[in-house]
Amino acid sequence: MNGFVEIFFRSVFIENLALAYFLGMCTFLAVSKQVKTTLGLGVAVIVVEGISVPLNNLIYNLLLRQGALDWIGLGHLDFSFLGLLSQIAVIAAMIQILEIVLHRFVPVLYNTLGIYLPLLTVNCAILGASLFMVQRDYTFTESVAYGLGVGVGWALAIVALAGLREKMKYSDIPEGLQGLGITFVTTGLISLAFIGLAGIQL
Amino acid sequence: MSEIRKNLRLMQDRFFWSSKRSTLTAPHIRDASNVQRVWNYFVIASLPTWLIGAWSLGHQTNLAIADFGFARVPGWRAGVLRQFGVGFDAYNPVACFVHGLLYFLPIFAMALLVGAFWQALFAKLRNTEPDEGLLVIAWLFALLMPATAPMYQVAVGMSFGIVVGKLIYGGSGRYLFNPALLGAAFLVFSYPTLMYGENPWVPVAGYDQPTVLELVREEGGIKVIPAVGYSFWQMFIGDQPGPIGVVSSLGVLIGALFLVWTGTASWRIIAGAFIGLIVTATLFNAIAPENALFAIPWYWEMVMGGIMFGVVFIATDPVAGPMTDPGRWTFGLIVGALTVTIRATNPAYYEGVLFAILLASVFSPLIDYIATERNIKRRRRRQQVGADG
Repeated sequence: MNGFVEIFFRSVFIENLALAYFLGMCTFLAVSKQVKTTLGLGVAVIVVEGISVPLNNLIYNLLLRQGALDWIGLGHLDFSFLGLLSQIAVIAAMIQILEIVLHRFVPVLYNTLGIYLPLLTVNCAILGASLFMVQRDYTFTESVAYGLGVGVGWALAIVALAGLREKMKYSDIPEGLQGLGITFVTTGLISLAFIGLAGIQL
Repeated sequence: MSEIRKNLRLMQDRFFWSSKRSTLTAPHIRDASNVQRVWNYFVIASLPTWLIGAWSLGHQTNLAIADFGFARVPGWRAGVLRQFGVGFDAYNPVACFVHGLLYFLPIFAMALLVGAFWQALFAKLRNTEPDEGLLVIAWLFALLMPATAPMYQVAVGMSFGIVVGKLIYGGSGRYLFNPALLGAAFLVFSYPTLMYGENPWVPVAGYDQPTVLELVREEGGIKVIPAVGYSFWQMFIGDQPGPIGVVSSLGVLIGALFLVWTGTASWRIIAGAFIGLIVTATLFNAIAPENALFAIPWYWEMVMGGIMFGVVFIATDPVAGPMTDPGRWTFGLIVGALTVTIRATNPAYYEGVLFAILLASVFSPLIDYIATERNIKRRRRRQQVGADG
């Protein structure tokens, strides 16, 4: 249980995918204009990460890894080269389902997210989480914690950025920096604020 | 060139006098307290902590000098002190104060010059008048620096703070993070030895006098404090090594009274931060009394390190902090709780207050957003009830 909390905390605050690894930047910068939209997007990311990472963990550990197929006597086969393919397929399917569900039950959110919902398929933060999970040899429970953690971390980062951007409407930004430029700078400053938590030992 | 000169003159005017600029559209407020005065209140409020801090720095330095028994104290500051016959008596408050001042003034002058340069440059390039608030940024920034800070690092930190923290967001009243805080945090990450190095606080070569916070972290808990000869009241008054502005809790509290009395700083942020600190520290005491860092009682947490200074002078920044009252409470609570958490769990940056405020500032618009949404919902509900009844 302690490990669960630690991995969760670590992936939210210390190894935040958006602010420490700068993954998922396209969505992060493009959709962070309004807090309301980012809340929806954040929930979508948490759901996708929370399901896709454990699911990929199961597929990897039960089918692809060397020795995973011992139970039908094929333990010598190593399918881990299929990892990337299967992870993308899982994520794409997940998002398709999420899109259908949102369209049916929360059309408002579906419309605000617009093109960015299908684009979550190619969001590096989501694939990145699955790849990190494989690289770090997480068990199933750990991968649940990790999936939820990176989702919450990314959501927190984008909601915070959206809040700051709403406040920046009152700023007077030099012409050359308006729009994406100042958003990059602000992202950097948020990231700077998060470094203070790096090195925390639990 | 003449325009830059004009801008510099304008800025010089605005250190203490107001600008004539006013908002173009209604509502207008007629009041003696304008932007410039609000910023200057911060400087006035930090005068007590500055006085005590400069004395404390001189006191520590003179003690170190007496300890080493120099035949002839090295450095240009010693030359100045000898020239004017001030001397190095650690128990003469005036001598101590002047000695401390000789370390503070160059840092402050450097910060002010660099800041003025950037302000003038931006005003020229953007064809605007330089705005208010430079004095307070340079002042607070200099108060946060250790006495041994190299001049180029002061210049780099101040440049980052004022350009990235303030000018590119449009200047006074439009930024997202307190520029002095941002500059200091930038320096801490870029030059780790500046504040976490071998001997940053007492500017006598080879004399290692760590801050109390560092002692507590390295030597296993607060039992070390009486062992090295510090008492609670001594630390409360400010007789300990540290940045000039930060050492004296007494001075900061006097400043806090002034700020709250003039309505410049929000008392809700200050109160929230202290409540957050007390609750979190007590919680940690209860969770792991055997862990030396978790077992620090809250009243020691308050007098160690920069928590008092940070909460009163930096967290209360009227631009970077939240605008709503519940938001201010939340902001304060986050600052207090995070500071204690970082101190207890983060060996890399054990002085948590800078990062706690920075992190809380990241979320301050969001806190405001939630507070406003809740208020809207509540009012709507009330309206509905009224309509139904």
